[in-house]
Amino acid sequence: MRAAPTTLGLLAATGLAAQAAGALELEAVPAWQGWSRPGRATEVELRLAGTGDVIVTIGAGGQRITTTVALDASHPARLRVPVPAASVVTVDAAPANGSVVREQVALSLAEAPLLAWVGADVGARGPAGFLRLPLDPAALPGTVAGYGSIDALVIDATALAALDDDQWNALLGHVASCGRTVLVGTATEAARLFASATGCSGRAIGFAADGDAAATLLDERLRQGLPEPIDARGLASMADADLASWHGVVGTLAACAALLLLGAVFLPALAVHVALAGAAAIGAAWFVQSRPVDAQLVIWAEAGPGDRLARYQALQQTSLVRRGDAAVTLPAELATPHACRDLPGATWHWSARERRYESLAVASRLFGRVPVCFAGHFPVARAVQWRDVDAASIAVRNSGPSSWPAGTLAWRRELLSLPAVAPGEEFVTTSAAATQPRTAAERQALARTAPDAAAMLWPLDVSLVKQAPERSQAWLLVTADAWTAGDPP
Amino acid sequence: MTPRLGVVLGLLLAAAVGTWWLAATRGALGGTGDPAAIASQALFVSCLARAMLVSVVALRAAAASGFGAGARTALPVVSAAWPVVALAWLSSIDSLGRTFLIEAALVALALAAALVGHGVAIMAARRAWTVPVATALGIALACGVWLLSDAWRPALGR
Repeated sequence: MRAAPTTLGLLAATGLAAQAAGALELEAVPAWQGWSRPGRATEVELRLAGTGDVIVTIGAGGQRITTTVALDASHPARLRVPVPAASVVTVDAAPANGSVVREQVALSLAEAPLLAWVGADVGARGPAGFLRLPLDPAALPGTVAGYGSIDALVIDATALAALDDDQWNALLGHVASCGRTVLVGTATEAARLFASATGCSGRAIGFAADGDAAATLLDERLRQGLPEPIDARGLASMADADLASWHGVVGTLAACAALLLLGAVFLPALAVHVALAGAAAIGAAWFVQSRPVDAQLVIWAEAGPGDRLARYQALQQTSLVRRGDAAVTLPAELATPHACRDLPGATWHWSARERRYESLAVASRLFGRVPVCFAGHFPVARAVQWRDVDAASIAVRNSGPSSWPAGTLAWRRELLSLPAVAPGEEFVTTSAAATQPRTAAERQALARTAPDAAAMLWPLDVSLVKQAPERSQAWLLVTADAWTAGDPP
Repeated sequence: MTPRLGVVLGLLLAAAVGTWWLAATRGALGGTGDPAAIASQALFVSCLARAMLVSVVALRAAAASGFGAGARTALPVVSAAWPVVALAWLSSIDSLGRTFLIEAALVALALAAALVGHGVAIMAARRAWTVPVATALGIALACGVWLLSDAWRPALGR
């Protein structure tokens, strides 16, 4: 009989141990040691330990992010999730069996521009007006979106060596997106890697020997200015106004009015009219909501003279018809999805496996629109050179390694059609052949080309984006390099 | 006054509100406007206009020809707009319950106004001034609805 209480005690102890072993541990660490700026994006690193599936919900700035993580007791999970910068970021982890664990992270939102100084030589001065943050390499984000928090970065070779793979990729992405960066004391190979990965014709990146030189170089870079990428409004101007659902509603209401009028003429009884009106209302609502959801994708990419990477901005506009909840799928091929404008109540779904946002859930209603913006870069092999032949003629040379397809030249506020040009070949055209812009893309090309410069506009193949909607368009604008006759290609 | 008159009046009113709603929405879709806010405004205007019209029509028709005639003329003014109300609700931020409640209140107003018109006719013993008095009462009721509309505007969603 004495064995029974002992056995029961052992069983109870085992149960308690199992419960303790299955307890969820959560730690949330913000990038940049919690510094960011209002309206920007930052990153939170989540460290989870436990077993089983856990649903993690992050609340930041009126938006929610959810993800599901499968935990293994022997391997704690680590997630880096881009989030909107807010004064408080709340992280809730809900295991399948167990109570919710909550962590709150307070962020410091600076009004002044932020300069992240990573590595040694922290005694060097920074540019005027900047808030300088001396940081450890571990504070750098592992996603490109996390770099939205800062305005400039100085990092030395020792800190570079301490970065993990995700942080390296994020830093390269930041440099490719024209993020102002000065590298201090970097080896030749690393400098070559960064120089080839930069956008904006290399104006955003610099290489310095020490901290003081880095500060001086950063001052120079800040004075130079960088081309602003196209904004959401510019992208929206190239999208067609989606009127399919509007036309559907007009037709439906006209049909309902005709039905009620005919009913009044031939069946004037009150009960018949009320029944007809009710049926027409229900039928109209069902018909309008059964229409397919329409979406458009507009991608605008730009490359400066000599750039090997083109920087793109994209807008995916989804038009909603049903009242209720709707899920918008985000293409995997487009980077850094974010809300183009406030989307109150939106929930972003983060895929822990693919490490990207895969869908967005919103409250849907008729005529509702969900604009999602993207930003990234891709390699380009097209290089353009131009020279004035005479007062009215221009010569354009393909100085790249591959043939161009036919395109449009933006020059002196006019557009000139160009045929396909092989590498090394030159094409001469005159302003007599110039035309006025006929499409929104051509108007953008003119607006984004300086009056004393020339740029080539090409349509791109959108089929590389697997889930691109039918009404999609992509454009590449490459600014030409000025050249004089006799210069080597 | 017959249901046909009520249907015609109701369709004219619904067509006016529907045309305004669709034109404003078309402008919003081409620019940066908010179709949901426009739809909520359209629902409010439709409700207010129908309440005012029903106040006059029901009282006058009931005073002239009895409660039944008043109800048969006024109820189609309310129901003819239901297709517009249904589609505008799909686009608005108003709740379904609130919209149903408003339609039920309009039906109740039509029946109540018809009852009042019938009461006026009985009290006036169907004299020659019965219908003008009922019409004036209907207009006064419509003015009251207008003056009170500010109180229910927030409930209809701005």
